[in-house]
Amino acid sequence: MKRLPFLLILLIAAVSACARASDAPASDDVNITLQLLPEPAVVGEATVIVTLADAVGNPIEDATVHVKGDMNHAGMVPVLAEADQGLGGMYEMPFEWTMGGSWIVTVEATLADGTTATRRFDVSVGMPASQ
Amino acid sequence: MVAPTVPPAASPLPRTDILRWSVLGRLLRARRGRLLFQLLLLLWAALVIYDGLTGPQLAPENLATVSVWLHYRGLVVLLLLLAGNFFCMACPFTLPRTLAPRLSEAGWRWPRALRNKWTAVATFVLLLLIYEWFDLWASAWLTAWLTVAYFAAAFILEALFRESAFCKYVCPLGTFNFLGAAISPSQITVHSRDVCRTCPGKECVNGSAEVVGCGTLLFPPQMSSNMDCVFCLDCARACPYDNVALTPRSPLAELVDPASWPLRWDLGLLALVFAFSALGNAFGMVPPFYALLEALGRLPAGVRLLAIFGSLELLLPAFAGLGAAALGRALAATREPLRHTFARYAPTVLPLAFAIWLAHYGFHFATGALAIVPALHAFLLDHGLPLAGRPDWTLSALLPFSWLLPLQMAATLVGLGGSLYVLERRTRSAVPAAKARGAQLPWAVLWLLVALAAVYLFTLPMEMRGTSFFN
Repeated sequence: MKRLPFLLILLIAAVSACARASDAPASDDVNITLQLLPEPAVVGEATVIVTLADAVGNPIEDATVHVKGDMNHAGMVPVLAEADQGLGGMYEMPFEWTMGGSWIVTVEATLADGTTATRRFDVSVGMPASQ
Repeated sequence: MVAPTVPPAASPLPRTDILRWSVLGRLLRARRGRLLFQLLLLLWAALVIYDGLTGPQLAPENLATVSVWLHYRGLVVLLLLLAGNFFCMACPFTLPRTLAPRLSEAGWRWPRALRNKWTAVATFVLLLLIYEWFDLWASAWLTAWLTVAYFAAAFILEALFRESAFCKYVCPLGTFNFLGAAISPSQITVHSRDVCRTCPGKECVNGSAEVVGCGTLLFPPQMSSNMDCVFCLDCARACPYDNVALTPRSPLAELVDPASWPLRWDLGLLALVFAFSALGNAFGMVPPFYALLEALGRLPAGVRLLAIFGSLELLLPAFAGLGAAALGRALAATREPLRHTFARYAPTVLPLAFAIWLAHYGFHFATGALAIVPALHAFLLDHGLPLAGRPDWTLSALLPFSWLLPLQMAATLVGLGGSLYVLERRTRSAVPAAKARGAQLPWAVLWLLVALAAVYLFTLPMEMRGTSFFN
């Protein structure tokens, strides 16, 4: 009985050292960058431009790109966008920042060969000047 | 052993006893009835810890952040409003007491100097400060560790002290529930005070060889409020005469009775802190808060947050309450001690305070309750369960967004009405009619200002921005 707390602490420490596969970083072979219009971001309609390039800098034009914008608080509807044609490796999508605050934008690119690459970006969204 | 006396009159005797209902009553009173509910919440807590530590560190996708900051808080306020303090009943943090009674009976008494609510005031404000400082809502990992810390604190205090010191004097979640349960529609009482008067063992509070007594040392015939009652129902299980009842009551019954709470500084301040913290917690999500944070310059984030929330949630309620008490006493030309005035009228804010918490937590629950579906879907997929399709991350709202502001306004208005009604009843019972207006005027104005502040906050655009040093 006296050992139980120590065993529990050991168990929790062991669990905390684990991370599941879903948390894996983006593939090293794909370079993902994100550009926002307008910059800096403000609440309202916007455009996101995702640029994909391979390890040596050649643009990747035939991928499917999913963009998901989440607030840093659970329970807010995410903003989604998708594009499957990227001239010069640039995938342009209409987007909407629905609230001010800290956003996490997840870009997931599925390449023609079925492999995926993911990268997350922290974005701070301000209120429009009129508010 | 405690040898309490039975008062000639306390809360009214029950016409209905929920514990005698055929299915629910039997389940609640069953020897392992509480344990069943606790195990359900233990499973929830285990999921929070596991997914918080190992799952995706994106708040909307993790069961820890979704279920704690949306569902736990939303369900707590709804259950307090509609039923009673059943979350304390099902609290998994106190499982050591349920599973190992000997552990909790071998300890010391909680120090006499701390047998009040000053510690609860401090831990309540501290938890809210930590929430803001570390952006707990945004961190699955910290949410998991907060849960672990809760288990550790509850276990240590349960093991060291004989009574449930953690629940009664320390736990900020329990404090929230005790205050919210002041407007709950149910309460523990007894069928016959005569039975209690002649009872030799007082097992409901002292326990017996088979059953533990009340962990927070409440004696059912003396109970005139839900304060400190964790709804464990150990009293009902321990009573050899089947004399303990769980009875429905009017939601304002406890507060209109000026004798339901002792006239103590700590209790009065706790009620005010509960109200102003409801404003403070909502204030932390709107643009003026971030403007104020910027205006405080280059001070460390923790210092700025301490200055803002310490002022708003501790100093302001203390000074506003003292001011209202002093002014009301002067206007009514009474000579009673300031403590009496303060402690009699401060708890009248509770209907309004609870309404503001309900409007805030209810908003998050209504806008995000369904987010648990894709989060659970993703969790199961991550663990190899063969579920069809991808998680639908657009699932979120329970109610149309356009309903929420009117519902928040309605809740605040009803809460204000409840507080003014309770204030009127308490005033009538304490001072002559000719002095009543003067006695209640400062408090009525204060509650009106609190309600207006809540309405203002709810109409502002929400902005959730990390403020912690982690950013």
